[in-house]
Amino acid sequence: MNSFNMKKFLFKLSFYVVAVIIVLLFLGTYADGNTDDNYRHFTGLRPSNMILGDSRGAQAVVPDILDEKIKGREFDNFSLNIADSPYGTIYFEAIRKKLNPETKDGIFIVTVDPWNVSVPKDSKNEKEYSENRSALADMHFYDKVPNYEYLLKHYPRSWFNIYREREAVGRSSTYLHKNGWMEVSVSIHPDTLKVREAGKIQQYRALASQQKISKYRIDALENIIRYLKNKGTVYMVRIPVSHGIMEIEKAYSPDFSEVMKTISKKNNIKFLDFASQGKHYIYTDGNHMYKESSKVFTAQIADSIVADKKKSE
Amino acid sequence: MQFNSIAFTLFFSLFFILYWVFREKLKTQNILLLLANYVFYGFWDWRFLALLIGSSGLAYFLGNKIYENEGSAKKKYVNLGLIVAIGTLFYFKYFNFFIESFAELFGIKNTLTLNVALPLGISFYTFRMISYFLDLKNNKLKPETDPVSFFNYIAFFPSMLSGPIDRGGLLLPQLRNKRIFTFEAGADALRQILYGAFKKLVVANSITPITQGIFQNYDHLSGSTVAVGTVLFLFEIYADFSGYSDMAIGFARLLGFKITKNFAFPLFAQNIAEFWRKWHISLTSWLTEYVFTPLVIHFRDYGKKGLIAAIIMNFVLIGIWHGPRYTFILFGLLHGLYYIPLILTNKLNKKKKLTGNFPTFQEIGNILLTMLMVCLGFVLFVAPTLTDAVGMYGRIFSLSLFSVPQFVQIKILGLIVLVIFIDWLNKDQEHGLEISRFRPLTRRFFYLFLIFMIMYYGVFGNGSFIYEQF
Repeated sequence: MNSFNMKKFLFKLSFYVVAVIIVLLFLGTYADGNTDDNYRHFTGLRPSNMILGDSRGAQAVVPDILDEKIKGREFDNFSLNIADSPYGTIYFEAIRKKLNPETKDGIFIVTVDPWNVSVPKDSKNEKEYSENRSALADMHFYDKVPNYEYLLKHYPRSWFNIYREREAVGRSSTYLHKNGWMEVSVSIHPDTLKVREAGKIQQYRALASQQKISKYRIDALENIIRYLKNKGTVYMVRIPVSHGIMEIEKAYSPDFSEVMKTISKKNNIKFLDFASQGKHYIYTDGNHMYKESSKVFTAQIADSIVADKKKSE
Repeated sequence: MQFNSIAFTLFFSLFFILYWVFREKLKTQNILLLLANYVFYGFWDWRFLALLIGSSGLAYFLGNKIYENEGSAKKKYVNLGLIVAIGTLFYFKYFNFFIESFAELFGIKNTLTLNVALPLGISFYTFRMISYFLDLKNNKLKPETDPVSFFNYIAFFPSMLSGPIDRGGLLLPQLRNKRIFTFEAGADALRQILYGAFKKLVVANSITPITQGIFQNYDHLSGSTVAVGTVLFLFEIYADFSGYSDMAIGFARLLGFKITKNFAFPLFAQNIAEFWRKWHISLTSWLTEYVFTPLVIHFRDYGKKGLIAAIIMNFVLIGIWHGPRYTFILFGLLHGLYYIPLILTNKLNKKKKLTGNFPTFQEIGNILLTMLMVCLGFVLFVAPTLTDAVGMYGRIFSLSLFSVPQFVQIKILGLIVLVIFIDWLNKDQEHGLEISRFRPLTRRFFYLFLIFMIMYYGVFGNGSFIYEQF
């Protein structure tokens, strides 16, 4: 090899490489709540007060309402969705990485439903669980803005889309706030709701036949609770759903609330079970709470927490 | 670790620098290459690394034994090598298919199905071993005495996952000799990688969701939509596989190696024989040498009938090579049958070179007819079962073929036209972006344009290549 050849080669190549990197760095700065449904969970300051769970929790618990009602605290909703954040070791590790290590007196709202403690019946081992393919499984940084690690690993589209679909152009129908709240803006016309709920019921019926409650997940849930108890106060919350979805859940796991109650007693935490209050709220699809209902519901959780805190003082 | 992943970019960049630092020390360079081969393979699945190393060791030992012996002893070692190589491939790739088919045929309860994964690249590295044994047997090759060179030949990472299938005669001498890096070769290798990345990330990955949607729901779609799906699949698999091959060849060239060409602008083939001379060249030339030619010699007394039989058997084998599925067998058979008119009209070996800047109407007609035949064959390639294949053909050859198709996107059509344009522009060159003959400014325009296309239209989620599964 002629070393001059190599130098010239690397020198000329470097112009293209640097140009590409500069463009990517620039486009990455536009990443926001429109980028995708999870990006913002990996950005911002590490929180001391968290909401955990799946997409039900992501949409139904609004941190702004909690911040307003429980003074002096800033909440972060670290609930992703059923594929990414069911209770398990991967979610547990992610919570450790996300949580502010200095936390001593945090408040943690752990939302539970039968699906985030279930696994597919046909899975042979833990490696087959969906969260192994989640961003939670391979991310190191949870507090970078912009988070290039996330974009490189988990944004499969052209980065020009980050710029084209940025918040300044208009919020997407699934907008992830900085504090992790997933704001879903869809039509709530009764006819549309009916169609969406029918689809969801069909989906959950199929899911119920394919899933089973898992000891692995329940153990992980308890491990998370024990870990968080050392960092503050933990509240377990069961979020209400529509009548149709609740019927499926009752058939799938009739004693779910009882099991959760037992776990909460065992770990000496409060269980706020709203399962019976389904009719008080509006759902976009029977499963996820409509954003305005979410605010009312969150206020109810906040009131319960405030009351509990007062009682314990 | 896909070619188009960040992990591979980092891996290759570091290895490239280290590799050329030791440019004066061939042994060190080869040891580094071997380590890189095994890191690359182990990154996929370290469990099968032992199989790869073990197979290489056995092939190395048997190769020397074949050379040292004569007569029946030599034959014994050749046969042993072939049995081990083909047996391993059969065990991992075909055992379940045969057991299940046998049990189904005779209504026997099957308890023998194996729960084993297919080791990555096994079809490709097994064919390298087989060609090594056969070349030694036919005295076309001397055995490799340096184990590092031999192990590198079997596990050479740029062509490990999906070929090209290199013969020992091509790669082993290069592993024994000092490699040279030149600016021109390096720049041209990067051009080839760039074009390969464009074809994969932009063209193939943009088409994949459309064809998947069509083939998974063909029974609810019109004949015209399914037909459009097969045409799109032609461009998808071409962009995917030739894109992969361009990248593989480009990375090998950056390390100073010349490996087998795998595609020669097959979209411009004017008959099916020409298509197969331009498509997956390393497999077809491998089978021509080790299967077709011996068969032709065997059937030489039967004239055209013998030739037809040899071609059909060769193509059925191409079908089976793709995997244990009846549809693949029929895919091969159909392509074999396509040859019959060419044989009967003595047009099998007639080469029609496209020379003008624009094709003639007759050339366009020939090309379209050839591609139509290829697209019809691809129904068997994409259909997982015979029932699906029959269902897809049923949709295509129904009255709904004359309805307006769904899923036709201007963007996709534009990308296809772009690939055809670039290929046409360079159809007489070594690869699709061999543009060193152009002025520097034009070249830079091409680079920047393709880089922009990748960044703007690239779909980065689907990293895997179609031929990895084989």
